Amino acid sequence: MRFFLILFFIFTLLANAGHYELGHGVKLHEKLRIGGYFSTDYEVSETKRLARLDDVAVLAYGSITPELSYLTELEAAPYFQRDFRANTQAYDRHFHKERVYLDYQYSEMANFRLGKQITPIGYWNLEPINVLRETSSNPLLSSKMFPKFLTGLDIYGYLPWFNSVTYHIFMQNNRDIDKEYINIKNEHFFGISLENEDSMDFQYGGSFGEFITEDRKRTHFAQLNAKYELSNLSFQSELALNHIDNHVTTIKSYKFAAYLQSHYKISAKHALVGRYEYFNDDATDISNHIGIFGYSYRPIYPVSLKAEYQWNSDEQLNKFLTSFSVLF
Amino acid sequence: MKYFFTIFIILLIQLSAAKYGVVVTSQKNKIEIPTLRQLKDVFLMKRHYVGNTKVLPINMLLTSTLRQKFEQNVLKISREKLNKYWIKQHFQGISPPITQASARSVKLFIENVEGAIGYLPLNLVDDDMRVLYEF
Repeated sequence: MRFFLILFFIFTLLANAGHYELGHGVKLHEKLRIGGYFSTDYEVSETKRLARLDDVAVLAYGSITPELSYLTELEAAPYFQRDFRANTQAYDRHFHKERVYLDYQYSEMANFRLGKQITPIGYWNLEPINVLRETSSNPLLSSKMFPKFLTGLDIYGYLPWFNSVTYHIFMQNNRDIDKEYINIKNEHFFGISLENEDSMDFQYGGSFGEFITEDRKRTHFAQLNAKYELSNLSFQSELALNHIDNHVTTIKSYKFAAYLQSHYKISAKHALVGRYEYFNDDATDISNHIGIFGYSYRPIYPVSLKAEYQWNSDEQLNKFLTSFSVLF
Repeated sequence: MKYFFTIFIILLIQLSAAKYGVVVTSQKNKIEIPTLRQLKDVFLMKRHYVGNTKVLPINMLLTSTLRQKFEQNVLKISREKLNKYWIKQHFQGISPPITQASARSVKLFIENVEGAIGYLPLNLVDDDMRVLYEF
């Protein structure tokens, strides 16, 4: 019921906004723009048949002064889910603080972001929501290799003497503002990332750093990413390596994840996508090869309907996934 | 025949070299001349400073022919790609540059707001404006 009230509220706002365009938010005031998104998906595998209203989120942002801006995002996920095979259902209607931060633009070379924010690593992590992705599923790299969020400080800007290279130095040495959706819970996280935007069509970069998880594992990570876009065809790839030092058992181990995704635009609305990923974890002795082939339909860019099939080296994990998502 | 052919070639060269507009700021602003790369980043809201100066880009309306020429010749991005870019930026909490309804209002804005950068047709450029880039 609350979800429909939120939808009703959003649609009322949109109906009253003069020149509203889907996917661009609504400007309510000089200092306030709001938006939101939701996604639904349906998964069929050997073990489950799951329907979910996965993400329901609202975001608000704006500039307080020319230098100071803010963003806040509240999210409930999964808002509702039902497993038809196990005949179970679950709700989470509590909205958690996904992002809450202030941005201070000090100069071309030094800007500051303080608060809970997306960790500035790679490409997938920066566009994590269903509607902005080309597949319904996420590669394992995006959830297994580094914390997706950071509650702390990010100093970022353009590197002097390099017109196209941006850097981020990010750090956390405290509790998270809201750790509900944090994939790797930690209270110490530090990293540096660099990105060279050769052009809008070719970019590459990398990052390294360390984090200490709540169960006292110190992980050093290194990561590389690149993407290349031709007129109808694009490629994106990331890889990450973790060295894990377990302070409790004193066991050391490695974890590796990589993916290569290609996206072919058949026309303005239709596209095909293929992805290969590999994941290996020494400590749990898990090694997976995953192949994905999918189709994406976008009547307009902020509305996405996708379907995909996943082949996993562990056949039990093979699955079909379809999703529908909208960004307001 | 040769004469007409020469005139045709000259006209073609002139047309291809024709300037549609200029990126300008007020003479009062101490903005360094930006590189094309910097200018592009400013209008994509990736970069908020040029050197030590805070800049504020101004766009014309989507329907403006000059804006289309600016997007083609300076940003070098198609409308479709630009729309996709701004939708992604909306999720990051970044809005496109503010717009003004006419070239005259862009000029007024530039004259009165510190750090403002915009593009104008050549006939509106006067001594109060400093040209940063021609396109």
